[in-house]
Amino acid sequence: MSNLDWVCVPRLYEVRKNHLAGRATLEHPLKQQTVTMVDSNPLSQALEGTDPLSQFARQDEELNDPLSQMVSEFDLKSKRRERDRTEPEDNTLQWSTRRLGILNRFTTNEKLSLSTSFLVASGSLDGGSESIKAQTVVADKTKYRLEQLDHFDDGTMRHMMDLTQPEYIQRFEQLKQELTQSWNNDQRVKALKIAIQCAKMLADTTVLQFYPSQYVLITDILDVFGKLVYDRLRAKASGLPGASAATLEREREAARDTCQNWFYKIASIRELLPRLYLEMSIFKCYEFLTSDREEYEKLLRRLTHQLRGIADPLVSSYARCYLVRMGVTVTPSKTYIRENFGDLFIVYPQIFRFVARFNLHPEIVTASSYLQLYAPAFDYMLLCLVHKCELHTQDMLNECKQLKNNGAILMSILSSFKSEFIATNALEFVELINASETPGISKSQLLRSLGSCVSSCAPLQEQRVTFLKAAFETINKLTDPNEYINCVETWAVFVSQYFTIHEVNRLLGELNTRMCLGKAYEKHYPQLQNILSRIMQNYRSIELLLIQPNFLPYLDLFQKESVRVEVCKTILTYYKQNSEEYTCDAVVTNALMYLGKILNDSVNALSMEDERRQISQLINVFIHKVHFGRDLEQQLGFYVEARGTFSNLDAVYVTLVHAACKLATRNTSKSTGFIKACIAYCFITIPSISAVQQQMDLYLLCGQLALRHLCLGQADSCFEAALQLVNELPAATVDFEGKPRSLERYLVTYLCNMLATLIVVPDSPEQGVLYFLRLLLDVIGKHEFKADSTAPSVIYLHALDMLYVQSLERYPYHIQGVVSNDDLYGHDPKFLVEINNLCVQVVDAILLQLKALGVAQQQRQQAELSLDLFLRIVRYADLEKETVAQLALNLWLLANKSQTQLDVKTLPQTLRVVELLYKQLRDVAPAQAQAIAKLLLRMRNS
Amino acid sequence: MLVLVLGDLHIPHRCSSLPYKFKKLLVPGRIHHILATGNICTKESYDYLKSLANDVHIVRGDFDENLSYPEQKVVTVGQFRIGLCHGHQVVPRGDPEALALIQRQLDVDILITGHTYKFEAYEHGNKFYINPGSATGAFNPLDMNVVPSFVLMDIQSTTVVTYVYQLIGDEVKVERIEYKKI
Amino acid sequence: MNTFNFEIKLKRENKVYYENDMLLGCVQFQSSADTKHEGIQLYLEGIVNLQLSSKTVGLFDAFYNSVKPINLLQNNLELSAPGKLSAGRSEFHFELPLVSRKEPLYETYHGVFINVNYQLQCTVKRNFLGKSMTKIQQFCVQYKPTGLGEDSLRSVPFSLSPDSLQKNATAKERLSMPRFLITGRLDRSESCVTMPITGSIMVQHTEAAIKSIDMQLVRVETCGCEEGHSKDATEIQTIQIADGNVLPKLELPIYMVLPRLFTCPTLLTKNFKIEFELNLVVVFKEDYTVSENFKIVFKRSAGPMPSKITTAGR
Repeated sequence: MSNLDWVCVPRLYEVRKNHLAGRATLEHPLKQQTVTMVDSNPLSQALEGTDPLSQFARQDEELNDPLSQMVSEFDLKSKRRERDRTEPEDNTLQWSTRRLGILNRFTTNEKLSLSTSFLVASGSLDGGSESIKAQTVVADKTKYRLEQLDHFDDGTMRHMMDLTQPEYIQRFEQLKQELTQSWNNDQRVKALKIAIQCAKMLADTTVLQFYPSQYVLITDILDVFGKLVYDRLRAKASGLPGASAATLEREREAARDTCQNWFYKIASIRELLPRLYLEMSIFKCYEFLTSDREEYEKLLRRLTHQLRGIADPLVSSYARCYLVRMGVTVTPSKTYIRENFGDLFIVYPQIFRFVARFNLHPEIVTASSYLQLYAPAFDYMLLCLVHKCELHTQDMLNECKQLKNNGAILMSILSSFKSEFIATNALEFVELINASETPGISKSQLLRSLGSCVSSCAPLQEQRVTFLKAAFETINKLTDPNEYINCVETWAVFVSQYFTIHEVNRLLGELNTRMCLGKAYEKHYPQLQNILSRIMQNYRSIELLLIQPNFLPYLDLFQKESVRVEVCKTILTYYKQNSEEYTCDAVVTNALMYLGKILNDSVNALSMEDERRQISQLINVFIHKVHFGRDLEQQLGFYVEARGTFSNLDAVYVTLVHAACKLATRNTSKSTGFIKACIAYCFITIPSISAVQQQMDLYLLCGQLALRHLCLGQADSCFEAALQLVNELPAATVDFEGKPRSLERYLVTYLCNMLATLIVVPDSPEQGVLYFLRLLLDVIGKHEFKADSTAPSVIYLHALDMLYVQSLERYPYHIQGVVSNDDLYGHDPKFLVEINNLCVQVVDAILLQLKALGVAQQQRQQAELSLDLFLRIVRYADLEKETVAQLALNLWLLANKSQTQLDVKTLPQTLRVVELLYKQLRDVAPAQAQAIAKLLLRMRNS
Repeated sequence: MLVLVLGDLHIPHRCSSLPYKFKKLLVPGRIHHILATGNICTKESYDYLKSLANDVHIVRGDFDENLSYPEQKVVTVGQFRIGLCHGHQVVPRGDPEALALIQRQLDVDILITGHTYKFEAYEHGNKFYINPGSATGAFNPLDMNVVPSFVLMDIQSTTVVTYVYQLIGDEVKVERIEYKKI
Repeated sequence: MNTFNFEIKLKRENKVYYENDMLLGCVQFQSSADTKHEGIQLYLEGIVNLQLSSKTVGLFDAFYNSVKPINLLQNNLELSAPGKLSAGRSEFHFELPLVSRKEPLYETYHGVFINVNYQLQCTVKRNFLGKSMTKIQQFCVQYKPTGLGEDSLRSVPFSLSPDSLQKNATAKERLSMPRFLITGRLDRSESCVTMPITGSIMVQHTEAAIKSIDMQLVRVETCGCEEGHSKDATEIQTIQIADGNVLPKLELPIYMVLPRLFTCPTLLTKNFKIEFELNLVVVFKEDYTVSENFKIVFKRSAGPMPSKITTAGR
């Protein structure tokens, strides 16, 4: 189009990078700070006490403001400290950690009922109707006879029937609020009555399977009541800070009085169960009456005995549990707990009379779930009994042995006793379980429990084998596959944690045999999966597992395709997390390939993108881990095999190409044979990848690599293949978030990257001068860009950059061993002419774009583009040629026309660049500098 | 204000992870900002950076899976405007004049780029240029001798103290470079 | 307007006194202006009030309606001659010996038919236009603790079975009864009012299921002398000892805390008597009930417990 007289000027100045001098240092922000603790006087530390409790105490003191500190100091005086020490130091015995579990476990769909005089169904509580009678009237009957706190047949009683479980829970929540509210309104008697009514409902066992939850709900309320009473007395006894000693003494006396009254009041409750529950709920308050530890013990013993009067074994068991719960907060003594168990063992046969009945009437509740009802109470009491005390463990075990139908107790022992104890007596436990024939508690249940015990704490090394043998003799006797598998589920952890691979293999083998009988596996996929997970989680070496003869056959148990795939994923996930960094074992590799193949084959056109990605990632992980050391050939062989196996997964192919590239870089031999093989592998693999973009990236990478290793022919093929793909690149792709994303910017940067590479690519004798650049320009010319896109211009501008570098006598960078065009042509004038022609061609293309932008009213883009081109002309072209100078001037003027659209800094900055260039050239190339000066003059004048 | 600058990790394709000795230095909670020059590649690596500091800025490298990373970014830390760009779009590769052009376009005090897998810190036209190199020492198809390196900038008012961490042999060498804004 | 207030304050917080103790205290006046008065009197009184039960009123009408209160204690003290109380607070301290006249000072007691009451009454006399003002302060009298007698160490065994039931069942009835045997003991027949009644009970065997085992405390008040008297029993407190069909051969404790306001040491005088009994009641599933009665003597053997009249822990 134009008759541009373009001649590239040599670069005569040097661009200065002022490298900043660094100096080596040992001090830097990421340095690991080793903190040296200055030990203060160890003696004083010992005195302060470093146990967690006193640490907490100290923290508390530190946290407290001076005011509350005074209060706490007072508390210290009033022997609170002493009591604190006896409190459990950890929260093992804390009830709160258990209550939610119970509520979730014991639920019902049956209708529940509740009797109270304090709730109205509609929720509008008539606040005024107090049932306390005025005591001033002499004729009042209450004057003659003790007012019965637990007597409510005065018509205010409401029987709420047919409540669903949530409704029932909500009612109790209301009662709890009502109680607190009454208390806060100084209606203490009403609060007490609410508590009594609630406690009464603990005798109701109509909905058996809900009883433990019912207990939790009701004791929650009793706890609230107990706390209110206690806190009130505590506050009373502490008096106001700063009160005189005499006043304090009087206050304390008054608190004692009030406390006594509470106990009197409660002692007169007619019914046994609420009377005992209420006394237990305020048990802590006895501290206002006595400081004698033995006194507590006596009181606890008395309550223990009184509880014998509760005939229902379930109700009494839970009442005992409550007693223990209250007891552990005031005394570390275990004697009364032991006594409770003594009584419990007497009542124990009674439980089995119920069990026998429910065996006949499973529609009420099954025998086994009836026994389950006792577990929370037994567990908790046993835990309290053996917590930090070895005194009763052996003796309990002995007693349990003597007991008929000991399954329920045995179960609780297994879940509450210290694992160490169970581990030491492991063999004895196996025998016990073997001998236990308890209706409602199956051997498998007990074995399960034992299994999880020994998993957390194993028997002594020398006993383990015998123990395992004995245990499995019992387990293998289980005929029901369901019981069998449930059992093994917990034992899998133990076996894989403490035994050699042979035992693990044997276990897998047994499972294979057992589960194949009558296709039992079909019904137990979750357990089978779980067993596998546990083994892999716990066995030390996942590689060793993979090569066991029974391992892969175990997979065959999962006949259902979806489960099988799931299992393969699990295995590979564990492999990802737990395996060694590398593996070179052919058997391991084979097993991994086998698993991977199952996954690969499960993928089809319908598979979700996410699924595909997940599977690919798992396979990629192991591909990265397979490493044959120096045997590069074998490594490549593995990649070839993998390519054949994982044909459904693009992402795996990408990984394989990268892996092969990396392999090439590890080549140390002088010959290029192996590298060629790697690149050939890539070259064959890349076309199978469906994403064009990834293909282009990989071709460029391989081309660069080939170039680096002087495989020029292969490099050329790669670059050519890459450029041929440009026009197949879709305009947009879908990203991870599922949003469409334009690939235009990608293409621009890709081609820039390509241009930067092409600088060092020598021309092939077969293809003529600057073949790839021509090809690139050709491809761009044909490519359909979005209308008004500046993308092609940006590419052209960089093509100009590349061309200018080609014109230089010496290129800024080279690849070792590659003879680039600077050396190839030796700055031959004919070559330079070719370059200049190409430059003209490129500039023409840009001018066309500029025009198009003008037509499209894209002034800003037009101005920016013209400045970009302007700067390149000034830097690259000989301005003494009038056509060139004129073009530069025109571009400058064009940009100035749209000055308002540009950033204010842009034009001055551009001028500064030109001035800088002038200064750089002034001394080294006066003629060139002169030309620039002339241009600047013309720019100013026009 | 501590700013960690790193890039060209190429995990997992070219390297399985950051060098152990680097990982040991990078403790969560110390670093305020992270500027990554690209080729973080996978989401796992991104998550790892996120675990070191909450404020992570990334530009797209030629092998980043995530196409939504921007090509260029400007982050202001204290009194400095810092430009971030991977650099594979620069022709010729790593050319100071081409980089100066980007610096002018972004109007920044410091321009950070990667792609050459070579640490560099220089001043040009009163601006500061940093290339942290490759933190994993991933191979560069055009250059085989790559030293794992990353950069930590301590920015205090008008001064940037740049610490360069390089893994030479099996040892981490640290250099300190000071740059003052004029 | 002149606000005028006063109260009688006793030195002892718990207001419990023994015979021959000195009753110490003061009357506190609080007045916003000078107040004239015609004298201030303090009156100490201890009285036994006897009342007839309605059941027996018809029979002994003439005689018993005229039952006079028995005066145990009487004393008058002039705190101030007529004059003027100056504005602000004024206090008059007093000391009164608690000495009986002829009968001993019985323990304070509030029953249905018998009341033993001790009180201080302070009267401020005003001129003929102004009404006199009075304030009353009650206090308690208790016996000095004494040791329990020989009986206190002797336990009282008992046994319930169809055979042990007395005349109230015919032979035929007894035959149709379910067979059962319940044994037990009370730890002592004489016990202290401040200590719980203890003992144990054991179901040896039973054909019919037990519903509940209760323990009833009953008070028997007698007014009058040998010639004619009214005798009335009131149930004071019932507590349950066993709930449901308890396991046989299991020893259940009996434990009953005595209600403070409704019990006092057993009192036998020539004019009236206060006695206590226990009923052990066994209720079977078919609402069939058997019971056993025990006489029990209360004494005061332990020191005074705070016996402030309260209803609940305020």
